[in-house]
Amino acid sequence: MTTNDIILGIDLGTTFSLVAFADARGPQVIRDANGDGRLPSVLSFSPNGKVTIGWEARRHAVENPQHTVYSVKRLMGLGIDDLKKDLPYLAYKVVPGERETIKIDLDGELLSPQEVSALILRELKQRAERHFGRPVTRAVVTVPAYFDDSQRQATRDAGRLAGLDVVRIVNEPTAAALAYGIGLRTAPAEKPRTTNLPIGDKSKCTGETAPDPKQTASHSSTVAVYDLGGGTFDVSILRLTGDILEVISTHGDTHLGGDDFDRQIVMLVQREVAEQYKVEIDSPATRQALRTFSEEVKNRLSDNESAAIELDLGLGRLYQRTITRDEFESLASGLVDRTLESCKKALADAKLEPTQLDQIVLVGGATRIPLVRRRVGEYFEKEPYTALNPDEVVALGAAVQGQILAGKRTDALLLDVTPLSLGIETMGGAMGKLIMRNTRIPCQATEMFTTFVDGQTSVKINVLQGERELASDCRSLATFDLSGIPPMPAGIPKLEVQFLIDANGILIVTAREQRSGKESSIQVIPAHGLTQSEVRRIEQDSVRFAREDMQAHRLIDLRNQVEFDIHKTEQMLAAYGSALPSEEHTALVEGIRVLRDLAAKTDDAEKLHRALDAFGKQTLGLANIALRESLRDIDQEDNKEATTSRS
Amino acid sequence: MLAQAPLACTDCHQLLNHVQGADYFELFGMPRGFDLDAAELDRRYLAISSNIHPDKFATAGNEVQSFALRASAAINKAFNVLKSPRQRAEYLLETAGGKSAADDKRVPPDLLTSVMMLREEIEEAKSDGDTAALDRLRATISRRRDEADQKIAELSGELTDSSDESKEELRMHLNAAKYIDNLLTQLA
Repeated sequence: MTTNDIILGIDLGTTFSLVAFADARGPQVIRDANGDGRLPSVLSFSPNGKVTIGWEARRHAVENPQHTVYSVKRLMGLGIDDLKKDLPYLAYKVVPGERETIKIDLDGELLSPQEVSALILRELKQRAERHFGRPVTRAVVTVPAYFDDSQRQATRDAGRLAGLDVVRIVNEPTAAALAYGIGLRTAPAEKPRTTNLPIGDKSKCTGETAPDPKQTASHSSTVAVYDLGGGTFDVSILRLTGDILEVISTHGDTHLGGDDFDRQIVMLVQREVAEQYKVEIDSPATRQALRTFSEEVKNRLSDNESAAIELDLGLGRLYQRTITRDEFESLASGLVDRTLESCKKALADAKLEPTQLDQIVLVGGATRIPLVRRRVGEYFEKEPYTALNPDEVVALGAAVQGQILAGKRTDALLLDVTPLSLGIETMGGAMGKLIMRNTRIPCQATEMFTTFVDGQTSVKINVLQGERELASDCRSLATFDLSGIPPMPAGIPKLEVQFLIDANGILIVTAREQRSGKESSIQVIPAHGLTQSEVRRIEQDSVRFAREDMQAHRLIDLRNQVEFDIHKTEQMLAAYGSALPSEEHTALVEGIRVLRDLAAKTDDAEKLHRALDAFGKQTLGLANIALRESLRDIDQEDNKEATTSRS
Repeated sequence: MLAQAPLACTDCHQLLNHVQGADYFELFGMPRGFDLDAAELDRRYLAISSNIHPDKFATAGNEVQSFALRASAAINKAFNVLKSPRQRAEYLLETAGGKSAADDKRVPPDLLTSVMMLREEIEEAKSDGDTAALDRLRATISRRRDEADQKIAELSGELTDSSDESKEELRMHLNAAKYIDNLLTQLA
């Protein structure tokens, strides 16, 4: 496999992020040295500009609350007004940015959520590169199905800032369904298939033919994916017919997830402490401590009937209590109600009853909460299906989609929908819908515009997403400024504007003045996102930093690898070294010394990488002996057992 | 890559033009008319989609991808129209010549008065929190919607050689159905 063939699957999550890839053996998650696939989506910024990402950052969150950024996904593509409910629970500082955007304020250094997400993506990219030992640049990145255009754009921009070509944005529940429906199935043996299509004469074209429609439709099953992650909730209703996975409808809440369940415990503790000791506990450090600790309590309550809470408030004040699962469930039941409300809406749009589904799939870490499992099971009157690890299934599905897009898998196709209606602000401030929610994507709509003033050469269009009647109740995605209209009397220009939503669920707008046939130029001013020039600027800045950062990061990784390899080699030498020709033995000992010396002295990652590679080749002879010897040991063990059992 | 070539050949421009301009029924090779085999439409839609969806051309050049994107969007649009009985009726009306329902917004006599009355009743039941009344209203309005849809089906079925009067009647019922739908969303 060459690196160009690899398209990674990335689950950029609120709490955890994962990277996976798929090959002929199926999809698999790329794990860290401890065998964990999850990278906590937590970043710790130290004053000297160093950024730590993952478990390490998570462990130090309480000591360094204002410089630890978590749950950044909840901030993607949103403005300060959208985040009123979140801000009291964040230990780090968030300030308004340009237009309707926000920035994370780290002692005056302002970072957009896109830039922070880019750091997570870069970490995952590097994890993959270490795995393959080569650069990897393409990825499929997942987003909650209910993400709007701004949030999707923000995710794609984050990918770009991380040096990734995001070839596709895939909805998380769809990715999960892909992992379950198609990813687990091995590719069928290719057999020639023919079909008569009513469109076009394809006889001259070489290529695959479509599956026989009759054959594909022979059995289809309907599945609901209930995806409750760290910060977002989605439900999607899908139909799997042969090789095709169709999303019928989707609904969700981009601000409802495991975080909110933790907050129920945080609020309980804050309330009781205030009552007992008349103190408000709300410093950044206590926010952070409470958050971490409430998450633990929640997790404990998934396995136990009760959990003890103990909080030392200083000055001899000790807050203590036991929370039972019942208590937690009554605090959290309102949240579960909200998810079931979404299920109801998705089913209504799919014109299905809860009991008509063949399977209910649970995805996302928060579906481990027993209350969630029970209520979902009751609602659909069916035992939910949880065969795959709920933390990993989305990344696995993204990897399968990556494989499809790399042209490596042709036995599967995803047909998704747009979650929200798209429209424009009409005269008088109404929302004129052009594309309805749950419309299959790609999709398009065309609308005619004209001018109101003689000689007017530009028209502004406010593009909205949402279900409400008034423009002010919907989200403004962007203002499209169409210019270059030839001067004509008012009302004469016929401006045809085409709104196209691509397979990523992202809007593309094109416009043409029909009388002159002139293509209008369009300037997009995103309400909640970065403009193209802002992305470019950050990209250029970060390339500079990234080179230095990356060099440093790579060196650390390489040094660790050197230590690990040397350690392994020394162990092998001790065990099997005697079987090695003496000159090879001496050379290897010398090789160890030279490599260790280089690792300590050099700052040139490239040089160290080459040295490590060379050392790897040098150890091949020893590795072969070790393998042979250990196999013999096993054989002897087996023989011994065989003998014993016979006697 | 040869395996990804269908839209890349010389026929592609033609194919795209064909998809974008085509009659929706011809596009799917379905007999023109209001009565339609929905399962067969689904099957044909999936077969066409698996040939022209952009994912099938992800390794091809930008131009081919753009064709696939637009052709796919056009197919999805045609599919949506044919799948929905109301939109199918509108499409038949439009392609049979004459005004569309959107251009001629007339509704059956009495409709506006009864819609207004129902709206008031909904408001009242809502502010009283009278769920029994809301359920009754939901049932009444759903029945009226079904009647409108029944009427639309009848009138669309005989559209091919119909008079201007029956086209007008179809337009009125299509418009009426929208009012009734709005009432139902108020109840949702």
